[in-house]
Amino acid sequence: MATSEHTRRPVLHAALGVAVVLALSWVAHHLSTAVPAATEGTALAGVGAAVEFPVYAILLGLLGNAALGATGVRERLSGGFRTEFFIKTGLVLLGASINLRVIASAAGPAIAQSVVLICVVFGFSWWLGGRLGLEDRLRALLSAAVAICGVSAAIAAAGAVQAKREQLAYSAGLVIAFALPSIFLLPVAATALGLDPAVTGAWIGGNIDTTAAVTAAGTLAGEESLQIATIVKVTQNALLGVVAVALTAYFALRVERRPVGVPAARQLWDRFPKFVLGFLATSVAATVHLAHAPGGKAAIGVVNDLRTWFLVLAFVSIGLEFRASALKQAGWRPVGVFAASTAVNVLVALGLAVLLF
Amino acid sequence: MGEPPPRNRGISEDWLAVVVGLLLFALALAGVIPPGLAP
Repeated sequence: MATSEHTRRPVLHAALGVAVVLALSWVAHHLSTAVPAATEGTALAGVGAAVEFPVYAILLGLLGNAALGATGVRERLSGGFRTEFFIKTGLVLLGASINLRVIASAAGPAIAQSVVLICVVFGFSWWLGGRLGLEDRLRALLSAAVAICGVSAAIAAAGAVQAKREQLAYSAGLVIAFALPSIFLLPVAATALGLDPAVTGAWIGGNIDTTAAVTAAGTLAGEESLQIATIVKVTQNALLGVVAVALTAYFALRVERRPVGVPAARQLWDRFPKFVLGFLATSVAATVHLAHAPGGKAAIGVVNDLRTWFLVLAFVSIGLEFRASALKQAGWRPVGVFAASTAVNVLVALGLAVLLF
Repeated sequence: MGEPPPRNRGISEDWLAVVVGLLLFALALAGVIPPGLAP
């Protein structure tokens, strides 16, 4: 009886934790539609429309974190805050938005831009993080986030290098803080520089980290810019798997090598983020589905909706799991690395966009 | 030092995410899940 009681309670607490995540996610979802509607036609309309669900989800998670911490139940419920599961499921579903046929046929310049940009920005961020003495796992997360596709890339990197959740929350916070102003600033800067729509799209797609923010900025810049921005962003997203594999290999074989006796292939497989396989599977299946089913886009739209829900759950969990202590320890240096890498990203992406589009 | 330890449940959660993700993907493609779910 005592044993049964002992094993049942953690499950009950985890279920309550999941219920908290679901409730806060529902509120975040509601706010992300209600706020733009409420601010429409007012001076705050631009801000209301630009603040997306990750912001509400993280803020509500942080509020929940404070409330549960104050009442002393946060630790007991924490088994339900499954950030990794939610976001990895979201990333498997993200694969469905990647049409490999489009990338193969229409994205030659986008592939070239993405590969060069990821190499240069990741390399710079990794180098600067090393110079400033950042911990290897944190600089892997920051470099992946700034070079590829923001929070998704940080999650993939976190799986590959087995980062702490605070490092993930920190990276996600930086991505969102930098993406918000970019939504407005890049279209304005593109107009001021007199860039044509294709170059503007390539610049936006290569620069802004989160896919949703790319869509927002691309929409502000116009239809052609949005199309190019989306292709560039999707190409970068598709390279997520490649970077995850490379990071897994690097950390397994160089940074945290286990004692002799454990074969290299075994170390690689143990650390390999398995959701990347799901991501690739949904990419291939979605590409085949779109090629053969006439109404395929609607079904992919449903998958994208599901992905958004899982990302809302993940961001709420990030807020709920957040601990300030790791950030205090890290200090200002990660912000400096992220800001400098973003500046490099802006300049290199602009140069490549002008050159290739 | 008061820090929580690194995550250790990565592998099983990885596979669970793959299974749930693929299942939802299949259900959406089969038309079982209705549109209009997301923000």
